[in-house]
Amino acid sequence: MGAMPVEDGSREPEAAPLALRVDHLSFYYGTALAVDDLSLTVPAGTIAGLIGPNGSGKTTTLRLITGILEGKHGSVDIQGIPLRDAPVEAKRRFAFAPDAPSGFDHLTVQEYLDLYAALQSADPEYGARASNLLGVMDLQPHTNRVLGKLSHGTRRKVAIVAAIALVRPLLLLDEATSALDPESVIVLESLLRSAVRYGCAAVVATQDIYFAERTCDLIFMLAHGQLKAAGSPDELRRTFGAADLRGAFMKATGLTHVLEGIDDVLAPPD
Amino acid sequence: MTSWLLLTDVERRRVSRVAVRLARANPLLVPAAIGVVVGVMWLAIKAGAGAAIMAVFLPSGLSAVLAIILMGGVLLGLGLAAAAPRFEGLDAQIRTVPIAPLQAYLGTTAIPLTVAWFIFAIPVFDFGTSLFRTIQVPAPDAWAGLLLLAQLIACVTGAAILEILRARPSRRALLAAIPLVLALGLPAVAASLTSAPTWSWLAAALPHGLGKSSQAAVAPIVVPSIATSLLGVLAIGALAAGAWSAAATLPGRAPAGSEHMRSRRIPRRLTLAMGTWLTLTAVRDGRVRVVLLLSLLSGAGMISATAVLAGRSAAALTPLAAILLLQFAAGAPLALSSDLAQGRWLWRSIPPTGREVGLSWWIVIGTITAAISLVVVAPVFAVMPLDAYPFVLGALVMAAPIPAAVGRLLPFRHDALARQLGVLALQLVFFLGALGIAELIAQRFLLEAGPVAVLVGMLALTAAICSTAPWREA
Repeated sequence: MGAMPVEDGSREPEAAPLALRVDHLSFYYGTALAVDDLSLTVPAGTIAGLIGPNGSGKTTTLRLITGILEGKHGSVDIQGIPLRDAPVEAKRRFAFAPDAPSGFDHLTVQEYLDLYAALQSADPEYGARASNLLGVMDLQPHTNRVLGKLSHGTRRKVAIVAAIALVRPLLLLDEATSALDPESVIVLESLLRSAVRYGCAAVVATQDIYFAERTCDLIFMLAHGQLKAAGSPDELRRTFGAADLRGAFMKATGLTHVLEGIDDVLAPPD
Repeated sequence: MTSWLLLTDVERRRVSRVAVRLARANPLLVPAAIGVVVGVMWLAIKAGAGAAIMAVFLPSGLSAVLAIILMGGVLLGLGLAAAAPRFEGLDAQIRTVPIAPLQAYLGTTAIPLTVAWFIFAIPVFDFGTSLFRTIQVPAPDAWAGLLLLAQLIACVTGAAILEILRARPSRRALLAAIPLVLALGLPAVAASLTSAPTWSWLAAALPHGLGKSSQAAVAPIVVPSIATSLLGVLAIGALAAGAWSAAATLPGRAPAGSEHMRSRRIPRRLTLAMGTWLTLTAVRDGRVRVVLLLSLLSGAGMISATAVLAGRSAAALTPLAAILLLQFAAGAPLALSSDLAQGRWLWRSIPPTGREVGLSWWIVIGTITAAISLVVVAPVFAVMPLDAYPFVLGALVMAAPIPAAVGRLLPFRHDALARQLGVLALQLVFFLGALGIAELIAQRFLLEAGPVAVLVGMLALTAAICSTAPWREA
């Protein structure tokens, strides 16, 4: 199947079962339309990337998928379970790490992981997996540090460890690489690949086009809350006649026209 | 527009935006806010007459009333200065703009604090007018104005005390404290030179002649010259204001607190996990510890002052003191509600339903409030008549779930003054409302069953609000 510079990112049913189906989802902040009739599907064993400019609706989409925001229009199914009708069952099937994890400032990293496990009703092996991941992400020295004293990047790594250790069928990461050091980005890429081998699917919202090109099997390009294009990195490159995903992204979002006049922006007035 | 006015305007816009958003999210807050204003005004007028009667019948009663108002002013100043957003609370990029420290302090703290004080000034003026009319001093309105001014000075004194306390120990801090010590010490020295009784220095500048001795019944009211009193108040005010502005530019303390903690075990059950999390937060959060310390100090001060001033009559006042203390005690659990609001992303994305999370929150906060309240009001029991025990204990049980409901309706924010005041006002409405309904039912129906029915009703209502209150905090 080729890339779709279209408004509907749903793909035809394939052999792999669907980890996520979003159907005609719309959401308004007051009167401002943040997500506009968005549809997409993510098969199991796939890493999908949501990319788009600031305010394109990536975070809002993830918040709608996780139930943090409740959309009135459209539906979200996690492994076939409708989030609206069976929220508890649906929420048992995903793990989420936000862009800016907040709260719990006075808990240590270890206490936070314990609390997270309790709230998620995690299986008994969660602690061991989390401990392994702390080691892999170079967080072991921080185990007894309180969250409020950690740097933003370290705090994000803790949130990512907490989510990945759950090993749920669907992993949702908002701004996956934001504030992470290069080593952690490389480790995260490998962890996502490893999770996929265990049958998980992942949806990562990211501003890092190069990360998306390297890591994702499927890309959804968003702008103004709408899906502008969808497909694998190769398909998108071919469709837009671009050498890389960056070029395809620029064409899909109309950025090429902006760049044409960039030299005049700082020029002194005549 | 000058820099400090710009900063004040930023605060004003922020407060108005929050107010509009909150009113949209929780329409219940609008009638609650109107209720607070009307209720406080009504109470102030009623309390003025009541206080005047107390002043007439209790030895040193008028001194007690005035001392409580001025002490309240000091506590208000301490609290407002602690809650003010401050320059350090602003966005990192804004903090790099070239503004003098005094201007930044004026814009972010002093002006908003003075505006916030006006909210309290209206009922105090009502109270003063009613009080001075009842005891029939000449020109009661002018004396009420003077009382208001004295309370503002007390408020500024409290703010200056806080600034000096939280400054890094230095010679500058020592120098800044000199006018403050003078402002506090001047009336005390004057009182000792004129053989005035204990505590009367606080009220020395105001019109009264009571309390020459604890055995005295009712002393004749001696009204000094209002011009002399005004000059005295202004002199003290100038010293307090000088101390405040000198303290405003003192370098603050470095962020304190250890980065490393011994990790505690978090149980797997939802309610226990939330309970452990909030208990650890209450123990480790310095701001919550300050709230608790203030509760204990003000409680102990209020009880000892009442006992010193009124002797055995204190017993009659202790239930009232206990209720006020319960309000203070709720501060810590309310502060914890901000932690719940900050973790909203997690609560909404986990499998337990909002109802389960809300119920657990309600149980945990109720338990914490009850435990803190018991500790805080425990000294009251020592001086309280036995027949008042059920009343205070009933009030305590009733007060326990209220912070949970208030915290859910209007989450507390450490860094937002208007939000803190709103939360405390809403808390007061809930608490007085519960007591008022209990009293009404007790009068009209069964004396015993009425309060119980109200208690059960309150608990049910609170639980309903907690479980269904939307997580609409933007």
